[in-house]
Amino acid sequence: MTNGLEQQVRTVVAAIMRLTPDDVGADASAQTVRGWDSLNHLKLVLALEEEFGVTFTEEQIVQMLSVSKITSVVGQLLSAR
Amino acid sequence: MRESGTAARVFELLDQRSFAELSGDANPLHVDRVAARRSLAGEVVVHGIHALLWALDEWIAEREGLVEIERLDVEFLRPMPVGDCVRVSDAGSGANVAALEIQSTDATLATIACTFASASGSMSSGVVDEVPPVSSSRPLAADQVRACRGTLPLMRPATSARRMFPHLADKLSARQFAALLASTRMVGMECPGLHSLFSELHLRRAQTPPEGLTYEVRRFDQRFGLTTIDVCGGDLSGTVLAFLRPAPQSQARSADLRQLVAPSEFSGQRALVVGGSRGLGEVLAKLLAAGGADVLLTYCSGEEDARAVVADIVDAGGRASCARFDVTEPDAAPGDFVPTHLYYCATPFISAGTAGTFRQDAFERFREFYVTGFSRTLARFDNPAMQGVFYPSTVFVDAPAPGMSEYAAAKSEGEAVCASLEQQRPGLRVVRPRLLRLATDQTLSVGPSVRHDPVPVLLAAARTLAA
Repeated sequence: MTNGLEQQVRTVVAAIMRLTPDDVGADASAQTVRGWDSLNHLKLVLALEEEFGVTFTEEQIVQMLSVSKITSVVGQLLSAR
Repeated sequence: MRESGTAARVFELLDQRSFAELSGDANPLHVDRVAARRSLAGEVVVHGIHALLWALDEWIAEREGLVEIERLDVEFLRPMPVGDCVRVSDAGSGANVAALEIQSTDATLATIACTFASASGSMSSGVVDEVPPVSSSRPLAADQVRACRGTLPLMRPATSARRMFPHLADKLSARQFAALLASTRMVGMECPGLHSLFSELHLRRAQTPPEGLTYEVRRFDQRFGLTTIDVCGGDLSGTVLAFLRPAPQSQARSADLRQLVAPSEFSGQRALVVGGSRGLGEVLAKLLAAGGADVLLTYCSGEEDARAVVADIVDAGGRASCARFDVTEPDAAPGDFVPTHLYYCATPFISAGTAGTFRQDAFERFREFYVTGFSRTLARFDNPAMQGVFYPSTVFVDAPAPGMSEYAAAKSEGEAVCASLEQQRPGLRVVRPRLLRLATDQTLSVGPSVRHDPVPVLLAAARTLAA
C-alpha cells in the first residue's frame, strides 16, 4: 500500500517538476529536486489534493517538502477517511 | 522563428510601459522599480500576457491568413524579470498548433499551447480602437476578491498593437486580441488587482456576449490566495488562475516598540543603520531610537519608505534622519555622520535559485552587498569612536536550503570579514547572528511558510551589541 502510494506521489511530483518519474526517487526532496521552489510547491500541493481527494492544512503544507513526508501525510489523511 | 525554432529578446522597462498603455494593466509590479522591489518577485517583471503575445507573434510571423484562437492553455511558471534575456522555443508545434516554451538561461518560465482556426475576417466589431483609460490597481483584500465580478470593455488600440505585435495584430481576430489584453487588465488592475500574480489561462473559442469581457470569481483558496476566475468575452470563454499575493511586509510601529525598550537603553549610540527603509533595518532603527539612540538610517532607492520610517520614529518621540547611500557605489557618502555603531542591513533581492545549481552571477550580486559593500561601508565609517558592528548572517550557512547556496556562500564570506575585523580591532564588538527566516519583504511567499517575528530577535542582538 505504502509503496503504491509512494509511487503515486512520485508520479505527481515528477509531473509538476517537469521530470520523469524515474528522476524522482523515494528519497527525493525540495533539497534535491531541481525546480522544487515555492511556486512549484504550491502547484504540487494542489495537484496532490486533486489526485488523492484530500485537503491539506497550512501546517502540513509547510512540512511536505519530501516524497517521504508527503507519502506519510497523504497516508494519514486517507486512513482517517 | 520558424527556421531556427527559437527567438530571443530582452524586455526593457520601456517595453513594459508601452504594454501597460496598450493593455491598461499598469500594475506597479510591471512598471515601477521602487514599488516592485517590495513585491514577492523583488523586481519589475514582465506581464505574462505581454510575453504570451510576443511568443505568439513570433510563431505566427511566417504563417499566412487570418486566424482565430480555437483553444489556448498557458501556464506562467516563474516571474520573468525585466532586463533578462528570454527565448521562446518551439516545443512540438504543428500546422495550426503553437506549442511553445519561454525560457531563461536556467528555467522554463511559461508554457503555451495554442490551437488556431482559420478566420473569415478581422472580427473587430465591438472592439474599441482606443487606449484603455489610466487607472490605479485596486488593493483588494481576500474577502473582496472572493466576491469580485465585472465587465471590461474590449479595447485594442490598433496602432500600438501593430507596433508591438505586428504579425498578431494583422492576423489574429481583433476581438480575441482585445480579450487577451482585457484579461491582464482584469488581473492586474481589477481582480485580484494590486497584489496579483497571473498564473494560468485556459480559453476556448465560444460565442460570447458583445458587451466586453465579463469575469466572476468562482473559487478562492484562502491558503494560497489562489483565485479561479471565469471569463467570457471576445469569442473566448474559460478560466484565469491568479494569486492574491501578500502585500509588502509592514513592521511594528515605533509607538508599540517603545513598550519593549527602556527609554535610555541605547542612549549615547549614534547608530548608522544601512538599509533602514524597510525590513530588518527598519525594525532596528525603530528599536534603537525607542531606546534613546540617535539614528541615521540609509536607503538606496526607497526614499519614500525611509521618510515614513523616520516620521514614525519622530512621531513616537525618537531621533532619526535618513540619507541615500548605495553600498555598491565606491564613492557614496551620506553626509558627515560619525557613528558609534554600525548596523549593516543592506541587501539585494534574495532570489532563490534552482536546487542543485550554483548561479555565479547571483553569487556575485550577493557578494557585492554582503562582502564588498560591507567592507566599503566599514572603511568609510570606521572611526575611533566606533564601538560595535551588527552583521546579520543566516542559518543557511549552517544548513543549506534549496536554491540558497549562493546567498549562504556570500553571507559566509561576510562573516569572514567580521572575523577579520574582530582581530584587527580588539576593542570593537561585532555581533553576527545566524538568523532564521524573519518576516520581511524578502521572505514573502504565496503559500504558507514559517517566518519569525523580527522584533525579539533583533532586540536581543541590539542588546548584545550594547552590553
